[in-house]
Amino acid sequence: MHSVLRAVAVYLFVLVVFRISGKRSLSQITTFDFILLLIIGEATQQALLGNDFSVINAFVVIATLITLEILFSWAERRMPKLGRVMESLPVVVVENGKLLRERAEQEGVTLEEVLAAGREHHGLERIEQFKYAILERHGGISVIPTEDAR
Amino acid sequence: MSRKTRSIDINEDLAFQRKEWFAQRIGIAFVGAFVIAALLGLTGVGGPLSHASAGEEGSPLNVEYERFVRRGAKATMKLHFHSDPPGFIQFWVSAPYFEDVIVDSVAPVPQTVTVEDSRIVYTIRAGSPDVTVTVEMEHQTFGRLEGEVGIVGGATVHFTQLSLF
Repeated sequence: MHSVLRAVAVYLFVLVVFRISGKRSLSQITTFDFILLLIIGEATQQALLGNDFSVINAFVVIATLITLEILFSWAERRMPKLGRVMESLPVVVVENGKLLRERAEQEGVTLEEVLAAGREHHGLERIEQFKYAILERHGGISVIPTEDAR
Repeated sequence: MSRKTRSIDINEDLAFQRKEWFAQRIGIAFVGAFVIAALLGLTGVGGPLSHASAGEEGSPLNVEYERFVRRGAKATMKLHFHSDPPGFIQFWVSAPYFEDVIVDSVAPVPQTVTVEDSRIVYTIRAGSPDVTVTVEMEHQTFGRLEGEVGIVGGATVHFTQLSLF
Protein backbone atom coordinates (compact mmCIF):
# COMPACT_ATOMS: atom_id res chain seq x y z
CA MET A 1 0.00 0.00 0.00
CA HIS A 2 2.75 2.46 0.90
CA SER A 3 4.40 1.93 -2.47
CA VAL A 4 1.23 3.00 -4.29
CA LEU A 5 0.79 6.02 -2.03
CA ARG A 6 4.40 7.04 -2.53
CA ALA A 7 4.12 6.74 -6.30
CA VAL A 8 0.88 8.76 -6.39
CA ALA A 9 2.30 11.45 -4.09
CA VAL A 10 5.55 11.79 -6.04
CA TYR A 11 3.75 11.78 -9.42
CA LEU A 12 1.33 14.51 -8.37
CA PHE A 13 4.07 16.60 -6.76
CA VAL A 14 6.32 16.45 -9.83
CA LEU A 15 3.32 17.20 -12.06
CA VAL A 16 2.39 20.28 -10.02
CA VAL A 17 6.00 21.51 -9.75
CA PHE A 18 6.58 21.26 -13.50
CA ARG A 19 3.29 23.01 -14.26
CA ILE A 20 4.24 25.79 -11.89
CA SER A 21 7.66 26.19 -13.46
CA GLY A 22 6.19 26.87 -16.89
CA LYS A 23 6.27 25.31 -20.35
CA ARG A 24 9.96 25.92 -20.96
CA SER A 25 10.98 23.68 -18.09
CA LEU A 26 9.80 20.68 -20.12
CA SER A 27 12.10 21.21 -23.06
CA GLN A 28 15.81 20.58 -22.74
CA ILE A 29 17.34 23.89 -23.59
CA THR A 30 20.75 23.98 -21.98
CA THR A 31 23.14 21.62 -20.26
CA PHE A 32 21.95 23.01 -16.94
CA ASP A 33 18.33 22.12 -17.70
CA PHE A 34 19.36 18.61 -18.70
CA ILE A 35 21.36 18.16 -15.50
CA LEU A 36 18.43 19.49 -13.48
CA LEU A 37 16.14 16.86 -14.99
CA LEU A 38 18.67 14.14 -14.23
CA ILE A 39 18.98 15.24 -10.61
CA ILE A 40 15.21 15.41 -10.20
CA GLY A 41 15.05 11.84 -11.51
CA GLU A 42 17.60 10.72 -8.94
CA ALA A 43 15.85 12.58 -6.12
CA THR A 44 12.52 10.95 -6.88
CA GLN A 45 13.95 7.46 -7.19
CA GLN A 46 14.58 7.06 -3.47
CA ALA A 47 11.20 8.55 -2.63
CA LEU A 48 9.49 6.08 -4.94
CA LEU A 49 11.24 2.95 -3.74
CA GLY A 50 12.08 3.84 -0.14
CA ASN A 51 14.13 1.06 1.42
CA ASP A 52 12.43 -1.63 -0.61
CA PHE A 53 14.49 -2.51 -3.65
CA SER A 54 12.61 -5.68 -4.42
CA VAL A 55 11.48 -6.43 -7.96
CA ILE A 56 7.85 -6.54 -6.86
CA ASN A 57 8.06 -3.07 -5.36
CA ALA A 58 9.52 -1.74 -8.61
CA PHE A 59 6.66 -3.40 -10.52
CA VAL A 60 4.09 -1.83 -8.17
CA VAL A 61 5.59 1.64 -8.58
CA ILE A 62 5.83 1.37 -12.37
CA ALA A 63 2.29 0.01 -12.64
CA THR A 64 0.97 2.80 -10.45
CA LEU A 65 2.68 5.50 -12.52
CA ILE A 66 1.43 4.02 -15.79
CA THR A 67 -2.08 3.76 -14.36
CA LEU A 68 -1.99 7.40 -13.34
CA GLU A 69 -0.77 8.39 -16.79
CA ILE A 70 -3.59 6.46 -18.46
CA LEU A 71 -6.17 7.88 -16.06
CA PHE A 72 -5.06 11.45 -16.66
CA SER A 73 -4.96 10.95 -20.44
CA TRP A 74 -8.47 9.52 -20.37
CA ALA A 75 -9.68 12.37 -18.17
CA GLU A 76 -8.14 14.97 -20.49
CA ARG A 77 -9.94 13.53 -23.49
CA ARG A 78 -13.26 13.53 -21.62
CA MET A 79 -12.79 16.97 -20.09
CA PRO A 80 -10.97 19.43 -22.35
CA LYS A 81 -10.89 22.02 -19.57
CA LEU A 82 -8.90 19.58 -17.44
CA GLY A 83 -6.55 19.17 -20.38
CA ARG A 84 -5.93 22.91 -20.42
CA VAL A 85 -5.20 22.98 -16.71
CA MET A 86 -2.83 20.02 -16.92
CA GLU A 87 -1.13 20.63 -20.25
CA SER A 88 -1.68 24.35 -20.87
CA LEU A 89 -2.18 25.87 -24.33
CA PRO A 90 0.15 27.12 -27.07
CA VAL A 91 1.04 30.80 -27.03
CA VAL A 92 2.03 32.99 -29.96
CA VAL A 93 5.17 34.86 -28.95
CA VAL A 94 6.20 36.36 -32.32
CA GLU A 95 3.80 37.79 -34.85
CA ASN A 96 4.77 39.34 -38.20
CA GLY A 97 8.38 39.81 -37.20
CA LYS A 98 7.70 41.35 -33.81
CA LEU A 99 8.29 39.74 -30.43
CA LEU A 100 5.16 39.95 -28.27
CA ARG A 101 7.01 41.07 -25.19
CA GLU A 102 4.38 40.56 -22.52
CA ARG A 103 3.75 36.95 -23.54
CA ALA A 104 7.43 36.19 -24.01
CA GLU A 105 8.29 37.59 -20.58
CA GLN A 106 5.49 35.74 -18.84
CA GLU A 107 6.61 32.48 -20.43
CA GLY A 108 10.30 33.12 -19.85
CA VAL A 109 11.11 33.07 -23.56
CA THR A 110 13.88 35.33 -24.81
CA LEU A 111 14.38 36.71 -28.28
CA GLU A 112 17.59 34.73 -28.52
CA GLU A 113 15.72 31.46 -27.92
CA VAL A 114 13.20 32.33 -30.60
CA LEU A 115 15.93 33.19 -33.08
CA ALA A 116 17.71 29.94 -32.23
CA ALA A 117 14.54 27.99 -33.03
CA GLY A 118 14.27 29.84 -36.35
CA ARG A 119 17.86 29.04 -37.25
CA GLU A 120 17.56 25.36 -36.26
CA HIS A 121 14.37 24.52 -38.12
CA HIS A 122 14.29 26.94 -41.04
CA GLY A 123 17.68 28.57 -41.33
CA LEU A 124 16.15 31.98 -40.63
CA GLU A 125 18.52 34.87 -40.01
CA ARG A 126 16.40 37.73 -38.69
CA ILE A 127 13.25 38.19 -36.64
CA GLU A 128 11.62 39.95 -39.61
CA GLN A 129 11.55 36.59 -41.40
CA PHE A 130 9.23 35.15 -38.76
CA LYS A 131 5.54 35.16 -39.52
CA TYR A 132 4.74 33.39 -36.27
CA ALA A 133 6.68 31.78 -33.47
CA ILE A 134 4.59 29.68 -31.14
CA LEU A 135 5.54 28.35 -27.74
CA GLU A 136 3.94 24.93 -27.79
CA ARG A 137 2.50 23.06 -24.83
CA HIS A 138 5.55 20.80 -24.65
CA GLY A 139 7.86 23.81 -24.28
CA GLY A 140 9.30 23.77 -27.78
CA ILE A 141 9.10 26.71 -30.15
CA SER A 142 7.44 26.24 -33.56
CA VAL A 143 8.40 28.72 -36.24
CA ILE A 144 6.38 29.66 -39.30
CA PRO A 145 8.47 31.73 -41.67
CA THR A 146 7.10 34.46 -43.93
CA GLU A 147 6.38 33.64 -47.55
CA ASP A 148 9.55 35.42 -48.62
CA ALA A 149 11.72 33.48 -46.20
CA ARG A 150 10.53 30.04 -47.28
CA MET B 1 -12.56 25.78 -27.67
CA SER B 2 -10.54 26.37 -30.85
CA ARG B 3 -10.06 29.91 -31.95
CA LYS B 4 -8.60 31.30 -35.12
CA THR B 5 -6.04 33.96 -34.33
CA ARG B 6 -4.71 35.98 -37.23
CA SER B 7 -4.19 33.63 -40.18
CA ILE B 8 -3.11 30.68 -38.10
CA ASP B 9 -5.48 28.07 -36.73
CA ILE B 10 -4.28 27.67 -33.16
CA ASN B 11 -6.01 26.86 -29.91
CA GLU B 12 -4.80 29.96 -28.13
CA ASP B 13 -6.73 31.55 -25.27
CA LEU B 14 -5.10 34.62 -23.79
CA ALA B 15 -7.68 34.96 -21.02
CA PHE B 16 -6.84 31.44 -19.86
CA GLN B 17 -3.11 32.16 -20.21
CA ARG B 18 -3.30 35.19 -17.94
CA LYS B 19 -4.99 33.07 -15.29
CA GLU B 20 -2.32 30.43 -15.76
CA TRP B 21 0.50 32.95 -15.37
CA PHE B 22 -1.10 34.28 -12.20
CA ALA B 23 -1.52 30.74 -10.84
CA GLN B 24 2.11 29.98 -11.66
CA ARG B 25 3.27 32.98 -9.66
CA ILE B 26 1.18 31.83 -6.70
CA GLY B 27 2.58 28.33 -7.11
CA ILE B 28 6.16 29.58 -7.20
CA ALA B 29 5.49 31.51 -3.99
CA PHE B 30 4.23 28.32 -2.36
CA VAL B 31 7.28 26.37 -3.51
CA GLY B 32 9.52 29.11 -2.13
CA ALA B 33 7.63 29.03 1.16
CA PHE B 34 8.07 25.25 1.23
CA VAL B 35 11.83 25.60 0.83
CA ILE B 36 11.94 28.21 3.59
CA ALA B 37 9.87 25.94 5.82
CA ALA B 38 12.37 23.15 5.14
CA LEU B 39 15.27 25.42 6.05
CA LEU B 40 13.53 26.28 9.29
CA GLY B 41 13.03 22.60 10.12
CA LEU B 42 9.30 22.29 9.56
CA THR B 43 9.79 19.38 7.18
CA GLY B 44 11.94 17.42 9.58
CA VAL B 45 15.59 16.46 10.06
CA GLY B 46 17.04 19.49 11.77
CA GLY B 47 16.35 23.19 11.69
CA PRO B 48 15.72 25.80 14.36
CA LEU B 49 11.97 25.24 14.53
CA SER B 50 12.29 21.47 14.73
CA HIS B 51 14.84 21.26 17.53
CA ALA B 52 13.17 20.97 20.93
CA SER B 53 13.93 19.87 24.45
CA ALA B 54 11.81 18.49 27.24
CA GLY B 55 12.78 18.80 30.88
CA GLU B 56 14.69 21.61 32.54
CA GLU B 57 18.37 22.13 31.85
CA GLY B 58 20.36 21.08 34.87
CA SER B 59 17.58 18.79 36.11
CA PRO B 60 18.22 15.04 36.45
CA LEU B 61 16.77 14.44 32.97
CA ASN B 62 16.60 16.60 29.87
CA VAL B 63 15.66 15.25 26.45
CA GLU B 64 16.72 16.88 23.19
CA TYR B 65 14.64 15.74 20.22
CA GLU B 66 13.25 16.81 16.85
CA ARG B 67 9.62 17.97 16.75
CA PHE B 68 9.38 16.99 13.09
CA VAL B 69 10.80 13.72 11.86
CA ARG B 70 10.30 11.74 8.65
CA ARG B 71 9.19 8.20 8.08
CA GLY B 72 12.16 6.20 6.89
CA ALA B 73 14.72 8.87 7.73
CA LYS B 74 17.28 8.80 10.54
CA ALA B 75 16.58 10.83 13.67
CA THR B 76 18.59 11.50 16.79
CA MET B 77 17.47 11.89 20.36
CA LYS B 78 19.80 12.93 23.15
CA LEU B 79 19.07 12.17 26.77
CA HIS B 80 20.99 14.28 29.24
CA PHE B 81 21.29 12.83 32.72
CA HIS B 82 22.64 14.44 35.83
CA SER B 83 23.52 11.87 38.43
CA ASP B 84 25.32 12.93 41.55
CA PRO B 85 27.20 10.94 42.72
CA PRO B 86 27.92 9.13 39.42
CA GLY B 87 27.26 5.42 39.15
CA PHE B 88 24.71 3.44 37.20
CA ILE B 89 21.84 5.23 35.50
CA GLN B 90 18.64 3.31 34.86
CA PHE B 91 16.27 5.00 32.45
CA TRP B 92 13.26 3.86 30.50
CA VAL B 93 11.54 4.72 27.26
CA SER B 94 7.84 4.10 26.72
CA ALA B 95 7.30 0.89 24.76
CA PRO B 96 4.48 2.24 22.56
CA TYR B 97 6.85 4.92 21.24
CA PHE B 98 9.44 2.33 20.27
CA GLU B 99 6.86 0.11 18.57
CA ASP B 100 7.16 2.02 15.31
CA VAL B 101 10.82 2.87 15.61
CA ILE B 102 13.94 1.00 14.59
CA VAL B 103 16.66 1.82 17.10
CA ASP B 104 19.94 1.85 15.19
CA SER B 105 22.18 2.51 18.14
CA VAL B 106 22.34 3.66 21.75
CA ALA B 107 25.57 5.28 22.81
CA PRO B 108 27.10 4.65 25.25
CA VAL B 109 26.21 0.99 24.89
CA PRO B 110 23.89 -0.03 27.72
CA GLN B 111 24.98 -2.60 30.24
CA THR B 112 21.52 -4.16 30.18
CA VAL B 113 18.27 -3.73 28.26
CA THR B 114 15.13 -5.05 29.88
CA VAL B 115 11.65 -5.16 28.41
CA GLU B 116 8.91 -4.53 30.94
CA ASP B 117 5.13 -4.20 30.53
CA SER B 118 4.93 -0.78 28.99
CA ARG B 119 8.51 0.33 28.86
CA ILE B 120 12.04 -0.60 27.90
CA VAL B 121 14.60 -0.12 30.63
CA TYR B 122 18.25 0.63 29.94
CA THR B 123 21.10 0.55 32.38
CA ILE B 124 24.28 2.46 31.62
CA ARG B 125 27.38 3.10 33.64
CA ALA B 126 27.84 6.77 34.44
CA GLY B 127 31.50 7.65 34.95
CA SER B 128 30.72 11.29 35.60
CA PRO B 129 27.75 13.21 37.03
CA ASP B 130 26.67 14.44 33.60
CA VAL B 131 26.02 11.77 31.01
CA THR B 132 24.51 12.09 27.55
CA VAL B 133 22.94 9.08 25.89
CA THR B 134 22.50 9.38 22.15
CA VAL B 135 19.80 7.30 20.50
CA GLU B 136 19.88 6.97 16.71
CA MET B 137 16.60 5.75 15.31
CA GLU B 138 14.44 5.46 12.22
CA HIS B 139 10.70 6.02 12.38
CA GLN B 140 8.54 3.51 10.57
CA THR B 141 5.22 5.28 10.75
CA PHE B 142 3.80 8.74 10.14
CA GLY B 143 1.52 10.94 12.18
CA ARG B 144 1.56 12.24 15.71
CA LEU B 145 3.90 10.38 18.08
CA GLU B 146 3.77 10.59 21.85
CA GLY B 147 6.71 9.38 23.90
CA GLU B 148 7.96 9.32 27.44
CA VAL B 149 11.42 8.98 28.90
CA GLY B 150 12.09 8.65 32.57
CA ILE B 151 14.62 7.74 35.19
CA VAL B 152 13.64 4.63 37.10
CA GLY B 153 12.24 5.95 40.37
CA GLY B 154 12.83 9.51 39.24
CA ALA B 155 11.86 12.23 36.81
CA THR B 156 9.73 11.60 33.75
CA VAL B 157 9.68 13.69 30.59
CA HIS B 158 6.95 13.67 27.96
CA PHE B 159 7.47 14.71 24.35
CA THR B 160 5.47 14.87 21.12
CA GLN B 161 6.71 14.52 17.57
CA LEU B 162 5.14 14.70 14.14
CA SER B 163 6.40 12.08 11.73
CA LEU B 164 6.01 13.14 8.09
CA PHE B 165 5.32 10.78 5.23
